[in-house]
Amino acid sequence: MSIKKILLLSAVFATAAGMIGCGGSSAGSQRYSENTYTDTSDGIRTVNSFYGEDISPEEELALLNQRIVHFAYDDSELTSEDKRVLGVHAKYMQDHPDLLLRISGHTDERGSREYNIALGERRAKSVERFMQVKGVPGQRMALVSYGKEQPLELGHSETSWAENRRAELDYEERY
Amino acid sequence: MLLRGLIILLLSSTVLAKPLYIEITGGQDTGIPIAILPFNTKQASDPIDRAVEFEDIAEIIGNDLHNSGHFRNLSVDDADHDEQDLGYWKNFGAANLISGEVISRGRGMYDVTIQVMDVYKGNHKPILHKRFTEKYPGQFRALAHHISDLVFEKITGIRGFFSTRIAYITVERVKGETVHTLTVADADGYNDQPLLAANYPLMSPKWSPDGKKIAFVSFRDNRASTNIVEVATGNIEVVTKFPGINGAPAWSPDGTKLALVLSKDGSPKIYVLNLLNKELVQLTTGGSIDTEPNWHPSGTAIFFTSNRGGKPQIYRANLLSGEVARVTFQGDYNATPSITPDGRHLVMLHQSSKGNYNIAVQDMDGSRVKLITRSKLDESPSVAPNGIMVLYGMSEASQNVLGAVTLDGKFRMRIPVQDGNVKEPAWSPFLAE
Repeated sequence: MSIKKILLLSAVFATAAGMIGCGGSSAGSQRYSENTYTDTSDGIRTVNSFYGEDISPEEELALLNQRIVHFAYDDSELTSEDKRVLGVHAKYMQDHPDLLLRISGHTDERGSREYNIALGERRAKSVERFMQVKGVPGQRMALVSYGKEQPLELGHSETSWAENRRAELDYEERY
Repeated sequence: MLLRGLIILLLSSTVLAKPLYIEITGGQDTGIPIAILPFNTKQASDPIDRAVEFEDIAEIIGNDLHNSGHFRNLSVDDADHDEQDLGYWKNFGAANLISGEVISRGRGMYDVTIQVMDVYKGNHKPILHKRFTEKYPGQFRALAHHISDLVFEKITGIRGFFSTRIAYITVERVKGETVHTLTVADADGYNDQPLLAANYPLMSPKWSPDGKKIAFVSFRDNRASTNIVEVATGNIEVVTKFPGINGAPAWSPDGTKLALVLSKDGSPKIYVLNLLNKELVQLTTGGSIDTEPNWHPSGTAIFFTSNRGGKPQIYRANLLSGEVARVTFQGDYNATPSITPDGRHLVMLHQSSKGNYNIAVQDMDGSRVKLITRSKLDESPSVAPNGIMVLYGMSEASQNVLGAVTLDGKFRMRIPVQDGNVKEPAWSPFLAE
């Protein structure tokens, strides 16, 4: 990791609007549904490398904006791409001790509703375990499974089902 | 007096205005053929009484019986036929003939009589004859369901479910927000009343055995909890709110316990909560998914879904011996067990060889599995308190609707709710009158 890279990343953070910082002041709302994550602090930050490869600041930001990971049918295994995304979020959690992470597990519409709640929880737990391995303490994460109760796509095709088999990350400020 | 007459008129017309879209989707020719004559109406000379429009009792009874799948309602358009002319009705193809009268008693009240003839019995003695005195038109719909219950039991020997209720969850988009509502309605879909509306998911409603409460799952504050709502008041009591899953509540037959699913210690496991002393006992163990507990009507066993064998199958936990045994072996996906009130059948969600999710019935004394529904994505079966029908959720192109099917699968119908999606039907027990 070169100094140049680090400075570039901090510049990216510094120029963007402070969504996390501002969000906390909006009364009543603890949920950040916007898609962008930036930081107001202009201190120098370091970027870890994941699985032996360096991630550029631009890519790190792009991965941080990705708050959904998808799963195969009847499966809760994370792909290597998911791990790249989650690794960046784990780092973000470590850099922001004021934040809590809510991980929600979801399934496609097939089968029993309560059984899908259990499948969704396996997905959320799979994400939680990875985050723990990456150093995020369990106390800073909350899990919930919505099963098939909150689909993103309402279609009945494999395309919609694949979109709906997912875990979502939501940041909340520590009370 | 005038004022009261107007109020009754307004009330009854709003009820009458509500359309019902029950659509028979299979097996229209099954059932005992019956003819129902339009009820004679004897009005008083009081002009106020004559202005009152009331529910057509004969029509409600006809719909009740026909939609049970156990009767075929032959339409009778001509009221002039003599109900004593049994030869005519035999020719008409009816096995039973139902007739009645609505007689004004003044002061806005009516007497209602009902008689049922067995066309093949030969003598002209009704097999059922009843008179209900001093009823207001606002009571006619409930009275009609009560009469349907009496007729059904007289002819089939099975207690009728027409005075029972159902609960279900609706999901609607309102001003950009998703609203989840727990609603209760009459068994035929009328008189729907929202009990609870939320901007978070509500799930898994189950009636208490006395019909006074409904257990359900809530996702308030992004956390799952099991809850009990009192139907009469809407008062809610949070039952469990542990970290992780709090789900699938199921009342014991005596109403003193709630079986439910918690994942507070790892995998989702079945627990039994004593509602009287709040004692919580863990029933199943291990790393598998165990969910959807449901009690055998005897109260001595709990059936549940588990993937301990790799795929979801149904297991029985004997509460006396502690023994757990697998009960389904056909197919790779069997879930959502419920046992019919006579203890003879297991009703469940089964993935067919075509890959569809359908409601299936398995005999308890054998292993024969019979599919009773046929769309692609059926779910959430709930057995009627008399065991003859199953309500379930089905997924259509643009919405979720409710379906009902007889336990033999021969008669099916579709019951959409007017607005939005409807899912997770729960049939009430028999209710005290």
